[in-house]
Amino acid sequence: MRPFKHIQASTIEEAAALAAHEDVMVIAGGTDLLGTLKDECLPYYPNYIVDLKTIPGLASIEEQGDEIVIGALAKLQDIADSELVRTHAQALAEACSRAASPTIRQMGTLGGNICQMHRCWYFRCPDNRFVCARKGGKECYAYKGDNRYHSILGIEGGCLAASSHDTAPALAALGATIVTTAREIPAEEFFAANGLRSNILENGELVKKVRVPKTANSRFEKFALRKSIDFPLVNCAVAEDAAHQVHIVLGACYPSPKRMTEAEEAVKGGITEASAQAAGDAAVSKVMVLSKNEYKVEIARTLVKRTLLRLINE
Amino acid sequence: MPGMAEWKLEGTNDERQEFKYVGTWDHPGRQSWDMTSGAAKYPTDLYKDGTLYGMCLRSPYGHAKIRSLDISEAEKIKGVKLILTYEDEEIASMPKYIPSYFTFGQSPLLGTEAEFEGDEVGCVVVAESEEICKKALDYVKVDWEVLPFILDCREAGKPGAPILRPEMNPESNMTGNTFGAAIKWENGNVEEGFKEADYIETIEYGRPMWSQFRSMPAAYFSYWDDDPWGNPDGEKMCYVTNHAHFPTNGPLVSAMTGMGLHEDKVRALSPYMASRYCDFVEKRGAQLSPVLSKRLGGAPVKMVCTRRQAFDAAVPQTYFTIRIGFKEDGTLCAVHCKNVHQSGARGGYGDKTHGHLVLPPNAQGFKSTSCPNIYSEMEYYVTNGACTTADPGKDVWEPVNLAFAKIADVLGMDITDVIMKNVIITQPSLEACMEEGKKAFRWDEKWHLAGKRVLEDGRYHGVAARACWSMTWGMISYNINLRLNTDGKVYMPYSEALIGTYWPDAVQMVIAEEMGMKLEDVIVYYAGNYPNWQKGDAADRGSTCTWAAKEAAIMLKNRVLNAIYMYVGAASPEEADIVDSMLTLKADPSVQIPLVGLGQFGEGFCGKPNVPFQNDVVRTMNVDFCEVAVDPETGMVEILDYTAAHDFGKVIRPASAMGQLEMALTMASGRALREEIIWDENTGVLLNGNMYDYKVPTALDQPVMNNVAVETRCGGGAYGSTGVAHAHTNAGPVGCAIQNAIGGDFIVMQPYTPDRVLAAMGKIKKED
Repeated sequence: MRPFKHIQASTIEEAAALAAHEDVMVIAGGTDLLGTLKDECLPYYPNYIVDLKTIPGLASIEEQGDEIVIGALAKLQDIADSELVRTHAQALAEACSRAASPTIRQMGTLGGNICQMHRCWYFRCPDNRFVCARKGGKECYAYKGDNRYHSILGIEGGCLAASSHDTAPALAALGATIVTTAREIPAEEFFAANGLRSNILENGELVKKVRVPKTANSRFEKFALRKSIDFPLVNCAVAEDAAHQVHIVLGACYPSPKRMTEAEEAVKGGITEASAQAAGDAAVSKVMVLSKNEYKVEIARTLVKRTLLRLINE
Repeated sequence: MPGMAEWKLEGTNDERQEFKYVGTWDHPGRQSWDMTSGAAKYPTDLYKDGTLYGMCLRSPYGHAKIRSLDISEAEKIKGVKLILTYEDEEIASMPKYIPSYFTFGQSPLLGTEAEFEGDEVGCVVVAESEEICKKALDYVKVDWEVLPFILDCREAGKPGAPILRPEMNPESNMTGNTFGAAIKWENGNVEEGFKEADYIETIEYGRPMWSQFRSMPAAYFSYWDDDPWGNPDGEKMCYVTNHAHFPTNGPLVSAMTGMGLHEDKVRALSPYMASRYCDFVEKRGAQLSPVLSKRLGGAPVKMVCTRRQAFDAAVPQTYFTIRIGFKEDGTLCAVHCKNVHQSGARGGYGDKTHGHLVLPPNAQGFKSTSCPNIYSEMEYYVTNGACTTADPGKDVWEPVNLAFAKIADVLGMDITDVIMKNVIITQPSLEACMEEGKKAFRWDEKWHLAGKRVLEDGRYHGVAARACWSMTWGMISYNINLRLNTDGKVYMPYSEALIGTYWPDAVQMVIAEEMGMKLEDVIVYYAGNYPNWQKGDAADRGSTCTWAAKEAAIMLKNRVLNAIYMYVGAASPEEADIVDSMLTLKADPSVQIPLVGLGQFGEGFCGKPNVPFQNDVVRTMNVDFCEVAVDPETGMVEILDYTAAHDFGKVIRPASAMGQLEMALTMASGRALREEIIWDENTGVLLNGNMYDYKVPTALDQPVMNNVAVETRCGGGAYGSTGVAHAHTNAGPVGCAIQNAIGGDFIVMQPYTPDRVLAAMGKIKKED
């Protein structure tokens, strides 16, 4: 790995001010960033890395009224193990428990998980081999290339990569709010293919915490080829809000997690075997399959159905 | 039983029945402490003050030629110590030694033509750090001529395909093969055989490239220094990583022969290799590092590569189309087999400069069936995917077992009956494996006709069985040297790299057993300064090294008893014995004296069991059973139970034997369900050269295994033992079990990923 200067931030504001510079990147658990730097897969290499771990008070998991407030530096494993989260935001606890591997979950943070870059193998190819649309190039190489893991729901920002966060659909389904140094953003709007980023953060803007409304009934399901250390081929979160409306969010099917409103319509009258199946069908009623990823449609259809059925059967 | 008829055990004590150590558990091995504690030094761990790092330029294109190279800017970078290009005379002259069978596929050690993306080409940089190497390589100006590339051997064989290696074959992409093996052959009369058939079916089988994946990328460390034991000719000694287990093909030998050195000028370093499958394709760094070090006055140089670059070696693609004719009772009567095989970027299995072995699977396995009429046709093509490594032998049974599964499916027969009806080698081994394996797997409870059982959770249930031979490779002799020291202990040095076969531990048990020594009084130790001492052959050490150890131990015991029998009052050597490391009077075992201080005695045995060459040496069998659950909605396959019944002949060290089985089945499960090397078809660039996207199994993916050791004493090693080697790494049984679960056609291509399973069930369209 090429050398860089390491700065330990004392406050999130200090870190945000530093991050506004072009040659600066931030690090928390480092489980995504360090691999990225080793591979030199980005168009530029930072001269400075700002360490967020030295900022106090950003790793808490607290109950505040009707919400659970989770600091950006909270470890994925701590969230998965939190009784508070397991009781009031089960989908998020399940998502954290399925992310990465046990060792990575002990290092990876919630902030890092929601800010990780896409796992597309063209985007991530070492030595910046493919200058794709996200990196200022003209094309998405997956369109004509090997797209077996890519989007089945269309293109976003010129990109066909599939969102790879496990926590993202859970946060979106639960109606969480991402609190940054500059603003508050509904989770559903936070994620997007945005240059090198997988979210709408701007330069100098950092995630401080996530506010998750307490939700009595929510579930998360993940489909991956391996049981550990694998990114989702499809993941799905469902949550029933206070008004008993079911929110359904599919992940890894589009560059950002996608709320499936037509599927939600299908279960408006209640979740049954038939309505869950109808919701699955509705979720994949408008797909744009590529040359190698038609199979993901069946997996997405099934995961929506199964996650919904868990909501009523467990 | 053609195999048994020719086989006769030679040497002594093969019928031995009483064992004190052999076949027993709980003996920590020579490598156990080092490997579990982290004390073991792998090549990447080796370091000396002043260590420099070396990296080669690598091609960014699937196939390209260097028109010109300018290193002037790179040489100016601070920390760069040396840059050699393909024009350097010494580099251009390497390797200096080429075994006689390297008759094709030769490439310069550092040439101008890159055969695949990531191929080392053009120049090598030595610098103070890896980062500086990388920076310097970025400053090397290269004028590339991008050439057409081919990633699939079937494409390489099509008329009009670009000729990739015209210097090797100007007419087509077909490469030579090893030892002049026949391209087409026929046993009996196939057309007549088909006329006798009640059924004629066609089956297809395809396998992608699998990585030799290594969790630790290879490194080659070398330096030249005065040797504490003296320099006979006044020159410094070359110290180099011992990174191989093949005596004639391995990097250590490559280092020597590449530089035209003799063995006494080389001192081997660490015996440990990172996890890998075989050691071919590893020689370029090994050959370069001592050269670079010498050019820098003997400074330590470590050639390194990234994890992605370590994906440049692979098991080759192979494709079969097989027409089979069989009778109502399930017996095969005709086989017409066409095999299209990949011979990799170098035109064969081989290292980074040579493709020296092409052993296509073809229809050899059918020769071990009762089918009298077999026609085999094979084509093997050079491609640009990666270097290919040895994977001979194990594939030979893939099409055979697929044929058995097809017969069973068509006739509604139990596949184990089809196997027993058709396989003619090797009894009693096959029968014993089948019986023990079926019991352990509970085959009779689990087997059913295809598509007939659904589990409670809605998944489809399927099972399969497959038979395979266990080869006893006896290519090269073993050289075992033993010495009884004045401290009363027996010493055996070895210098071979250790790759997890744990052969020194098995050999230790055999020596203790034969000499009457306590196990702890037999010291097997790594002696890297004597690379010429002990040489073994291929991966299956069960056959030759234990044999040689047994012979040497018996000879040493005889020598010792002849010299010292009188010390316990015996009248002749026959009246004395060694029991628990004590010289003992047979007539009165209470009369004992320790062996300490009685002198030094040495013996050696260099040789092997009297076996024919390589693949003809089939003595024992093994049978695998696989149980799967298939999710009909997602196509996800879970292996529920994977059981191997393996005839080891005689188990020497159970921990090693059973561990090898588990390792092989784990490898098979990964290959069956997830693993394949993927390149971008439009650019030839490797896409999944990392441990996220190249999906080896994790601990959680490990299936239940109920493996059984069978012992028929039919093998070629000590006490009739044999090894495991390549057996069980077949991914095929999983595919047959999937077909048993879902019915219909067999899935052609491995791995059996959800897309292929869903396509087989008609849920999505099939791939082209």
